[in-house]
Amino acid sequence: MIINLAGSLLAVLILSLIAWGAHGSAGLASLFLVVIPYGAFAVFLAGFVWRIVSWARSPVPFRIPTTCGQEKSLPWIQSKPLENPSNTAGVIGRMALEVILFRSLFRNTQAEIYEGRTVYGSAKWLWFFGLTFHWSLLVILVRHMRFFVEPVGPIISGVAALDGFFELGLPTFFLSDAGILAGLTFLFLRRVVVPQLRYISLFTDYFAVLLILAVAATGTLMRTVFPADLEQVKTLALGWVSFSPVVPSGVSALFQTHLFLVCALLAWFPFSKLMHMGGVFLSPTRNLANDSRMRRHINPWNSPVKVHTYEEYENEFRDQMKTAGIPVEKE
Amino acid sequence: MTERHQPSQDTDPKYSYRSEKTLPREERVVRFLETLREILGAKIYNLPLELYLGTCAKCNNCAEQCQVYQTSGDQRDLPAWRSDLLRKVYKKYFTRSGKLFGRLVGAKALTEEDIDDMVDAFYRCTMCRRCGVNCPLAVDNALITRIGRVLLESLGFVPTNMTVSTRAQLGETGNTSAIPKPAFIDTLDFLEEELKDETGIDIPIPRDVEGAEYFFAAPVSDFIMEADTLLGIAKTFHAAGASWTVSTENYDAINYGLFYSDVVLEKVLNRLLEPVHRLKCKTLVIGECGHATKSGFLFQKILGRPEYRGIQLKNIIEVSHRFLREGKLKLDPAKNPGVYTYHDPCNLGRGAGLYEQPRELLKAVVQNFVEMTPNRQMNYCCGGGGGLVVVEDLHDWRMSAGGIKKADQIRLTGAKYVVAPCANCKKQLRELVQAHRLGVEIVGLHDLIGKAIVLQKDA
Repeated sequence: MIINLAGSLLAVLILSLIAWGAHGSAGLASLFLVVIPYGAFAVFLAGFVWRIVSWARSPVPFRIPTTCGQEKSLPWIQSKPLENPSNTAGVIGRMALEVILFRSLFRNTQAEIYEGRTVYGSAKWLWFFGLTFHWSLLVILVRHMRFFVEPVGPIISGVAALDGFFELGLPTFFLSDAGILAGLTFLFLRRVVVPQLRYISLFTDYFAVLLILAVAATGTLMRTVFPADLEQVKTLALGWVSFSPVVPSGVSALFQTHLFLVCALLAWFPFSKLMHMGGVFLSPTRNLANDSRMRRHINPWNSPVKVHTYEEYENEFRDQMKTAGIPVEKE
Repeated sequence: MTERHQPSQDTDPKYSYRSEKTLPREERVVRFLETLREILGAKIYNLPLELYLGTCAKCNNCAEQCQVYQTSGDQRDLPAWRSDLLRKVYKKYFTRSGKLFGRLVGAKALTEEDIDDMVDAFYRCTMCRRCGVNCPLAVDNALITRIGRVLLESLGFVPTNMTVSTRAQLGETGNTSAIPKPAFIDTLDFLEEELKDETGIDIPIPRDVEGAEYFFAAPVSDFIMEADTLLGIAKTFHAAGASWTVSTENYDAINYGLFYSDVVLEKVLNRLLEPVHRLKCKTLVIGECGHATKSGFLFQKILGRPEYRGIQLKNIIEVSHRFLREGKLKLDPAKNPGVYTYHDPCNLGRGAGLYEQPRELLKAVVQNFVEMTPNRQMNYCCGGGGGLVVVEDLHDWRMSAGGIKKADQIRLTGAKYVVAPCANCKKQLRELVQAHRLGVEIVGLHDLIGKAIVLQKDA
């Protein structure tokens, strides 16, 4: 257990030190600023698509959705289409509730003994910090788009403006930075402190949270304490997207570390549990409607099964069967 | 009643009641992997294995929802850990990353000890799906448990109580309790006499009626243990003036295949549908039984033969509820004094989505109804789900780790009667009441309808 934690901490440290140590060497600059980012992004894209396609191609011969509410039956019984959908619209709604608001974690209850009596309360911490982390990550991703487009569109600047709405500090401190750090810290501490969680955690579980934490920490540092040269960064990013990469001279070691950690994350992403980003949409327990009594569930991409029905069998051997005295259904 | 298992030479001494003709220890690993390869080749469970095992974020939220883990605090009851038993093997032998990076990505070579762990863990899960309802990634640990059980079956690890029952069901008598046909007919006669004595009217239990609208099949154990439920159902059908029938050939709705084997599931299901089709009945009505309802609802159209797919499937609760709403039942709640609470059977609730009909029915037949907390989709399992209730050797476990939460929950309602429309739940809950001296009574929903119903004499 502790070795997994220590190992992943070490792995993240080593990754950071590699990038930091390589800073300043002119020969390695193009490797770290151009070759590795391209490679990592290619691995991410190909791996992601490959995983999703392979999942999406897997047959689902059964239909066993969880039913978290009254099912649709007779018209005068009020059903809950978002908890127990009976059609595609309901499934989309249920999925949206889950992906946008983490519906299932919101359900959490907790039983506690209070003055000798069991009391059922709600436990929303995991929901809250999980949601904070994921939404912050999304906002941060959108904000980063400003490096890749020129001119910066209204959506991106709008999100950034909202994110920095309180105008704390100079340059403006973004709420999402606080959100992602708080969320990840909670998720990490939870994993380390709760014994049963420690018990089921593998190297990869710690590594995922620590790597993202390192990315977020280096990013926040660049925003607040050691400002990066944004013009250089933008030149670099525009170089990538226009496929005419340039190696700017003045990026800081911190930036190079941040970038390298992001590359590590991207390259590792498709092979890790982080693929739940795409997989959440594919779980047959949630993305199928509960209509097994209304229509037959057919998996559209089932491979055709060769069957030899009894009727065909009898047609083939009717004469022989009659001669042998075996009863036949059709004369 | 089921007996405690006597260990024989074929069984693994460590897990005597869960095994028969078990493979020798040293052959298990090879066979396990062969079966897993076969299952993956058949492309039935690939998605659950790849997706559930690949996307689980290990947030451990399932453990917070698992009543077994919350009671026992035992690592073997952590749902994510249990599913991990299978994940390790799958990763090691069937994924590239597992072959390359081994333990780093959680892959581990299968050992005999791992198989021991699985025999333990997969029969400590009641497959209640409470964790699945709460899982942000909709990982269905109950399905993983089932895949695990299918794999273990190939090594000879199945609770003997289950195999004995299925063998009887697929054998001559055609039912899990091995009641021969004459005895069954006797029972029906006896029930008719009971009805006559009780109500003074002739209420028939029609047999093998061709073209009846409703074909009724109860879990066969009801004919031995739950006579009141059956009487209530007969009265309901009679009061509604419905045309209904039972079969004297295949009268058992129980389907243990749901818990450990696709082959058994398919065979038993078709066996049940056969007389419905033969007698040209429109609707198959399944009695107060959770898993029979779920296996029928979910798999009739998939596993049933093509000619059986047109049959409509209903649970008796849905049918009675419809009669109630159509005004066909005259009910007098004063006949059922006392405080009643309702236990949502997992397979009717989280498995089929029947939450409101039983409540409406119940409120129509009793005076005082209180809800349990938590209820509906968050209700706790009785502690004997997933077929565990038939395993007598698990009795002590069911009363402790499996059922303490449930016992506590019942005690807190302050109700005198617990209504549980599921044969499985009824048996487990009665044992719980005894073991924990809860001082409540477990009743079926139709027992109460039977008592409250007002029948016209001239009918």
